[in-house]
Amino acid sequence: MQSLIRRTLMSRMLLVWSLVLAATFIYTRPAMAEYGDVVINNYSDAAGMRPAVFSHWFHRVRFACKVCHADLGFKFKAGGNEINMLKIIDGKYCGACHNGNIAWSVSNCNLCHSGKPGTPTQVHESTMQELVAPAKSTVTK
Amino acid sequence: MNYLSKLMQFALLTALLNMPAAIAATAAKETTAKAAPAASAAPASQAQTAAATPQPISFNRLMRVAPRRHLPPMEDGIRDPANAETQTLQAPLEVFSALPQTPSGLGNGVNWPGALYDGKIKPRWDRNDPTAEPMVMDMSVVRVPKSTMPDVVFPHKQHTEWLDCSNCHPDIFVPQQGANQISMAAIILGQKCGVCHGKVAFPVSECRRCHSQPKQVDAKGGAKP
Amino acid sequence: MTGRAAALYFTLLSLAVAPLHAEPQVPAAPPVAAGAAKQSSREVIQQKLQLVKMLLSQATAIERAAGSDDPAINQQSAAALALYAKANSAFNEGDMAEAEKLLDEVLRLITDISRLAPDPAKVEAEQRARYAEVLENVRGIQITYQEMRKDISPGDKQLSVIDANLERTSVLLNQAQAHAKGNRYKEAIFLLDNAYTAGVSDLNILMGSAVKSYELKFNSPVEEFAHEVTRYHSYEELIPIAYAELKPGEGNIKLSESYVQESRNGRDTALKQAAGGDHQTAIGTLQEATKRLQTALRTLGLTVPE
Repeated sequence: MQSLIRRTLMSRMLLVWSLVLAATFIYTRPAMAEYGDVVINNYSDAAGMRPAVFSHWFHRVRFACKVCHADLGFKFKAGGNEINMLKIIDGKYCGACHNGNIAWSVSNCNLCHSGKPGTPTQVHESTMQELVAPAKSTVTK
Repeated sequence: MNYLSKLMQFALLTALLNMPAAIAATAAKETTAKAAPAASAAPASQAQTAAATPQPISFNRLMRVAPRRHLPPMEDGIRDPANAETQTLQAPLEVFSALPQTPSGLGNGVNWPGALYDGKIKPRWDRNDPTAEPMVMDMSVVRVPKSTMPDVVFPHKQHTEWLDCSNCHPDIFVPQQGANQISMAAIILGQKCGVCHGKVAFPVSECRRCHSQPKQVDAKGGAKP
Repeated sequence: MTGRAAALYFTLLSLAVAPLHAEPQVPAAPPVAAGAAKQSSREVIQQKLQLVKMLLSQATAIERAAGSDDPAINQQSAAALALYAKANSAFNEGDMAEAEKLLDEVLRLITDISRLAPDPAKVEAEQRARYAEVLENVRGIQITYQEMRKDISPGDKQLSVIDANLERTSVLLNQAQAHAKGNRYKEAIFLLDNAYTAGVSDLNILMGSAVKSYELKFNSPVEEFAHEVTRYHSYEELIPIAYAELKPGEGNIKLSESYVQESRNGRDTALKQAAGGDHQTAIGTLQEATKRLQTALRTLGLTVPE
């Protein structure tokens, strides 16, 4: 009787263990950037630069939302501010801080322009992006 | 003894069900030397679909939504690892690990107001003046939805510690009773509360964070009109 | 249960929860060779060269600096151009380090020039825009106070605070507008900023720890119908947004359009009923029409709860 129980237990454990192994290798998840990272690709592709990636969390730790969105005039819209290098060098938008004084200067191109070429303008991992959308749609914000 | 074996079976099954979460958590903590996601150009759109597999927003409270993984910039799927400077960018976990977390881990998974109150972060209110203080308004607005969902409490306090009045008023919210029609559909489409929540602030999959006040019930037991 | 089985169970249990090395999520890219690192650096320097060239030719600051009366600024712009030429030749000769150093210096000079020699026309335009913005903010505060005033009974001490504030704000507003007329935008903005700050901080004190409850209480079916109409419109507004953001397929669009049409018919019926005085029925009809709109949104791919 005991050996029967033991055999049943063994076979059940084997089944469970094989399921465990299967789960390990079959279950994969795609890479996910940080929530709130904004890819800005209005003009970058055309200029041969990688799109700029702005990370909200990094700035949120240092500045209240109001500083950029009320004082510096950033609209709540990815790509909606029409930022270009001329404006930045003029001290507008990003250039208000990224001038070598408050933050790194404009000569560090690829600290900002770090996105994969061709990535469309988006707020990464936003609710809009994560909606169940038809496969052929490219959700841009 | 049979009871013990049943207990162990149950424990094993629970562990099995938690496997995906365990894998996710592990992969997030690892900085694998191998992880160098596919390079640039044409596969960008393909990489994007792979990187942002849509996950349906579920309003079914029984369904757990997977927590975020906070990958470092080299592996995050939108930054180009072939770019030399990408590796000098700070990884989110370096900072997040020191900050209070939210129970659900959605969005950044960071309890930003908590981090502010604890003094763990000191975000500037003024670009140049590190000593400027925000003008905080401690006024809550309770909205009673038509459905059976609990009432929504909107706290000005936590919002005015970060935002200026003009950020929301009057462009997004008219500061007048009855003037704003807010529906979940609108929020999900990025209107009203959805201008920030679901993009930068915590996503709306956590119903209770907003729908936090149970409906008022009067003495007779019926709902208050 | 024997000791061995128990041991095996615990082994499996611990393995199940132990950290597992996950498969890499995406195919690994070929490793970057040491030589390749220099190549990407060259690419970056070339991009910087292009950037500087663009800035030197398009930035109006440089033009103005070149024709400026101030010798220091003149000198800086001349230096910028000279350094760019040097950087260009260094790049062509293959001296990357030198080229980069020079280019960084040029960028620093351009940033300085932009700050020292701002375009007066552009500055004025910006100030005018900023003035308009702050003016709107202050007017918003005024309106808020005026609305608040309506709900307060006379004799309440809050009333005196509100009135004092309205008084001060309008004085500052007038002064600011006078400045603006004289093109003294900087002073105008300064006054308005003060008015705004004072207005907001007083508002915060007045609101205190108040809780405003927006309950759905209707005094009559007419009121409720008006509310339903607004609610219908708010969903209707979302349809074009949903088209634009979700980009649904042909079939979904057609289906949703039929739902929208149904809802429009319902709305028209409801409006007729309301016009005829039967608001109670109209409310029901309109609610059904709104439900149709919600179905249309769901067809487009949007999750619409409740």
